[in-house]
Amino acid sequence: MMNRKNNIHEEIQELLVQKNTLWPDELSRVNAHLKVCDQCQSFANFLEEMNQRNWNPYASETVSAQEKQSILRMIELNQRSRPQKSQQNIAAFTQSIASVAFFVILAALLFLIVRPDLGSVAFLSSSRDKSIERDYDGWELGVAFDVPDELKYQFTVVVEGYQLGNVMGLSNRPIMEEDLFSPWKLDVGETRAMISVKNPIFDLSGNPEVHMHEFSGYFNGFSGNYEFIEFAGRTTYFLESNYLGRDYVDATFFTGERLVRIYIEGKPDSEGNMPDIKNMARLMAESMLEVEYDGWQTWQDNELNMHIVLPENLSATDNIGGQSLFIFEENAELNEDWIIWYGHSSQVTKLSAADLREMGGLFLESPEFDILEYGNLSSMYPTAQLVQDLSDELPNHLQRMSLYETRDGQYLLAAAMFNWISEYDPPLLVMTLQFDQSELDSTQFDFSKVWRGMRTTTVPLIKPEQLIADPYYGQHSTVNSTSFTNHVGTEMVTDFSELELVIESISQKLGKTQVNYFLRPSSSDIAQFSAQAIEGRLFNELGNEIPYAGGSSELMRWGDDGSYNPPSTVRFDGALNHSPNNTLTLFVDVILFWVEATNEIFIDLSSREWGDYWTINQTTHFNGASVTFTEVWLDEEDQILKMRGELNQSNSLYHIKDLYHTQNSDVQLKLEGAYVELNYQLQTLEQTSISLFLQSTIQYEDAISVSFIVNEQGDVIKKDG
Amino acid sequence: MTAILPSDQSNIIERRLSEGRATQSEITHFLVVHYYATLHRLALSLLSQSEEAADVAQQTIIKAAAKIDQYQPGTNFKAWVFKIAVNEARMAIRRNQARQRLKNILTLGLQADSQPLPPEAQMILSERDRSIWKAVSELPTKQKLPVLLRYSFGLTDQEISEILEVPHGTVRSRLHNAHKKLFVMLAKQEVKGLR
Repeated sequence: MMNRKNNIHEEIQELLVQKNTLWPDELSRVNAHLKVCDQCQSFANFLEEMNQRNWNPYASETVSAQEKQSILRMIELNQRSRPQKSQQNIAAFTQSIASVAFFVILAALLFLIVRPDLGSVAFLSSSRDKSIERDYDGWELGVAFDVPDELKYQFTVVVEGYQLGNVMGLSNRPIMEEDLFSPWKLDVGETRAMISVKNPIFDLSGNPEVHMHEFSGYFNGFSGNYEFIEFAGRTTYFLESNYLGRDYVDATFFTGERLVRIYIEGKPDSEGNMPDIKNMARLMAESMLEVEYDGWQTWQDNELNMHIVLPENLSATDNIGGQSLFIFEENAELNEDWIIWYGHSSQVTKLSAADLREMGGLFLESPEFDILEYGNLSSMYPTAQLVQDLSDELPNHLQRMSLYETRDGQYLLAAAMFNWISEYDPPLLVMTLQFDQSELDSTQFDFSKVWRGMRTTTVPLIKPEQLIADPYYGQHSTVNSTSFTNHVGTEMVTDFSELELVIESISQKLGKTQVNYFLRPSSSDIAQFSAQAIEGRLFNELGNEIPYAGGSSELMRWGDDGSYNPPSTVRFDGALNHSPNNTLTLFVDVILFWVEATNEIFIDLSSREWGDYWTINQTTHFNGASVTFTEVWLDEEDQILKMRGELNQSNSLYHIKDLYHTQNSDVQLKLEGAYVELNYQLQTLEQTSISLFLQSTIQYEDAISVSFIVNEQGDVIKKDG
Repeated sequence: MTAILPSDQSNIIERRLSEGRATQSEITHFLVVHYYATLHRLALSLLSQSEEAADVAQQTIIKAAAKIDQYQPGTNFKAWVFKIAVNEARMAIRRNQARQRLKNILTLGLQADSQPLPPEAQMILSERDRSIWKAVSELPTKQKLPVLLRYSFGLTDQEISEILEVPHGTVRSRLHNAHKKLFVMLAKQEVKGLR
């Protein structure tokens, strides 16, 4: 009966929402009900208020004609500086695209027949002739080249863009050059040709001299003589020039319809190279084909100086610090899975979450936090298991792409590479998608294209799984978000057995002895560790402690270059009254590292009132520990949400030292032994749910020691430990 | 109260689009003159930040002009433009959320609050309207969008469905849930006011 009554109200209220489209009999039924039902009448009044639209404070915002004019000017300025495809261009290109597409498909089919092992991106390196390799297809720029083999291996080919406005480009090097680390090595006394592919951004009246002038303006001191050549329907010119003391030859030409400007630069190492470079430029120019990748767009972020290309259904936005890009589907709901391109910042990643917090606003805009918060990647990474290494399917210059399966039933596509800044902060491109083969098939290709479109140089040294592997995997229930910061791109020390205490020097002066020591990882695989030497103590062979002034407590950090910095120092103030071959043992207490964990607890208050008390069973996991909340009380007198729970420490290696709330100072947490109490000062009970982000500090302490025998001169003559 | 695009203007641009005669400059001009204010209002309603709203409105126009070839003449042009605007606004919301979350994490406090009303708006709105606006502001974006599109911009369920790219039934259920939530929130506020 009760349900039926409620159903009537629901039905009437639903009809009220659709009031404008009601039939007369429905309308009279609604009106009749409203006369006898206060609740539905209130609802009708509420809808009336909503319909009046007075409640939106911005509904009356106006824009004057003058403002519109200035907005129009701004937009037009923007449009001029960003080339966009116009209707006319699109219409004009349609025919040529069709014919080009035919050739591309034909080439792809032929290639797949010849080289079926290269998978979905195989056509990108299709080969029409044994002596010619389709080395670069222009990608989103819509042009393709054939590079003759005999020339290719004489020169390193780098397809690259210059930083002029919206210029974008891709890097490519032949397989033979894979062992080369970075562009600057190529610059040192090596011959190379550099091909730059540009979008038209300036005046495209067709006068190459204008463009060359702009280009030479960019490279101050660039000068030379033009030689105009026309072939394959394109205006091309060669320029022999001298820049920064080196001779160059350039070939610049323009494609017919698409107005893409190609610039080929060769840097000969001897006069004899010049004709070859010129010849190569000609051959490449002649081989140029248009390739249409309709709907792909270039993206250049503001600060990282990186370029990516995206299919039309994806958009990118810089994150606040400009060190990463979020890539996502435009129409996706908020908080749905995103693709995230992760541009590393070595300065930031090497800091712990605690460092970041202490520094407050300085690192407010660190990309890690954005990514961790949004993508929840840290909880996904440690559980990801490698399914397939896709690296071989990528073009030769794109290394290490892998497919993972995560515990929560998703695919994770990840690709990693080194850039030229540091081998320890490789950019990562990751993407999560539903565990569905067809979705994977369709997405993988886009992913590899986006990846390929990133303009940087790669070195095939590290697999993505090495970057995302977490040393805690298999040991702990949860790896939290902030600890991810500590692990990216490095192998962390997880145990004292992985540390060595090394005596660097012992010196004696005026009867006083000084011992310098440092800690270092025992394996060269460990790239980084953080430890704090909190105390050093020295004992003689009888076990008596020798007094000294105390050790340094400086943070030990293993540097990227393999050096340690700074070494901890123990200085002895007292004279060492030892006989020859006195055995000494140095003990150093170390805090190995701090791990911080953030976890969310969700409390539903939708049907709660002040004074309510109820029990829950909510467990939130931290590294090696968990907190289980069992009681909730809405204390009406103090307007406080109180929660009680218990801390369970399952890991004997270290312990949770503290618990606190990461986001709200109104939340107080008390940790006394295993007892946890949380007080949250609430202003109102209007909110329907509360998310609590708890954070923990974990401390891991131990001591390591080394024994040594010193002679009278202070030399270490034997070491043990 | 809110002026929606006059349909005859839409027809003109529609005709030119279908004839393939509309240039990008024409489209931009048309969008700024006839849509900018509405798009700006939509963005303001979602973001409550004037500068960001202006960015969203401008970006929408730039994108709409650039992607005009994707618009199919004969379909709802207004819904098409609004769809771009909603997506632009979503991106801005994401950025804001990131900023707010970062702030919260790193400053150990300051919960994300809904944007305070500008002083002039405080003056304009009655107490009741302020309550409604507050309640609408607190709705999750999924529900807030259909409410704003329907009540502040007078769009039909069908248009909302096109803009949000969700089935018609989803729009109705989101509106239904939003109505319920708003109704309860406002009733609670009313009771409090009486105390």
